Amino acid sequence: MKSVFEEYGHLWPQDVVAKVEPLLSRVMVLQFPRDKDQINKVKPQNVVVVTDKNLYDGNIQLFEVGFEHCVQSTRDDFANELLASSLMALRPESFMKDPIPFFFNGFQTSEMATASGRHFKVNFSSSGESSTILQELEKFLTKNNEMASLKDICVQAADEMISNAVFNAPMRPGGTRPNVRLPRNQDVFIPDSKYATLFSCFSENRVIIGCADPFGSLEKRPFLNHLRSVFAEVSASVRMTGESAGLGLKFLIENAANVYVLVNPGKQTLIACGFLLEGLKANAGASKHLHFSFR
Amino acid sequence: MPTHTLIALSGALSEDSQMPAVSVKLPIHINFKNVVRLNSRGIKLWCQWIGQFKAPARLHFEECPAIVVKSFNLVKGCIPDTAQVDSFFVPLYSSPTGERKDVLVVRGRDFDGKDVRVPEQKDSKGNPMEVDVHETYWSFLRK
Repeated sequence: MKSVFEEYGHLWPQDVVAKVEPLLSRVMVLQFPRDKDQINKVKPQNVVVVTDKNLYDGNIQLFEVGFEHCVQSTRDDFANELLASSLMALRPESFMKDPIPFFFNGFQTSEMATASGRHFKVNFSSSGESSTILQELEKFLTKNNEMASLKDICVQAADEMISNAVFNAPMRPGGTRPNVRLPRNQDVFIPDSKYATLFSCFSENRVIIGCADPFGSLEKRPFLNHLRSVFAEVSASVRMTGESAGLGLKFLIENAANVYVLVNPGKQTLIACGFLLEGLKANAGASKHLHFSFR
Repeated sequence: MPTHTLIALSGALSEDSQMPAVSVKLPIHINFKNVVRLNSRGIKLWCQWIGQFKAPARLHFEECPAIVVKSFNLVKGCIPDTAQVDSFFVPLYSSPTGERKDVLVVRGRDFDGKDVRVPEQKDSKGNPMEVDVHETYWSFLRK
């Protein structure tokens, strides 16, 4: 296996490579399926998987054995996402703290995004706030035609993220989830005066919708099992028992081009989707860049 | 004599939605034109409600927005065997301007079975717009 720098150093301009060479030399590349015999021989941390396979044809197993970043080699934004993935692999805590620079290839800070009016951020502590937040997000997404054309799927993604943060994420120290069985049509509060944050930001090429909660309670095994069940077929089944429909993750991944799920256990979960500013088809049809990290 | 029952949905199809009790003596036409948003809890509510209409009930879905079509395609049971989609919106996109326009296509006029003819549209600068859906968008027509 080669490092990202050895294998793909030629993809970036010289001035960029000069800055990031030390970092890219520390991250390895696993080409899937070409290097599949290496899967159980390497430590998956600090490895970026480069593939043209998607969730329907076999890349869930890569996450099951511990790889965290799966980047699609056929996408036009491959080089950018590979760079961002390499930085995420090396600095997951930096990503959790301030993800925006990673979404935009390390060249735009959250301060720059805020100053340019390209950043939407709101804290919330109850499901009753959802409707107002989604209306505000909708206004933000009409800043240009390209985003407005994706408004319905972006708002749907945000809706699912808010619901997840209020109902599924809260966990008490003993491991109980106080909100998970509560009816979804009640105004339910995140316990212990905690709050979650919904954010959105955009560049010339993409818009991000994301949500961070302060629990870090999303567990890898149930998450990947759920992923397997909802991506076994194009049409998924509604979960009829319990309060959740079990479809939020399916909607997020099917509609977005990039999906980020990063968990700092017991501290924070960050879920985000990236949408290409090229219309609905470009996103639904995109091979997905996926980032699932649980450490 | 009334020929059918019309249910016009509006707002968000969500956990807060109230679905009506309806007699199945007449065909039921459900109009989605004013559905502005839907989420996974709304889909669950929808599946529970629509699942009660077994044969010989007859359902007609009208003016389904793109977000409804996209979401219904991803979930089993949203469009039961007793239902027929009579009209739905197809999103078109202009790469030069980033504009989107959703065009209504009507059974008998614009589609029959699997073949859909989307009327040509131009953006505000006169550029032709392209149909902006993945192939899976049409999958409900194959059911």
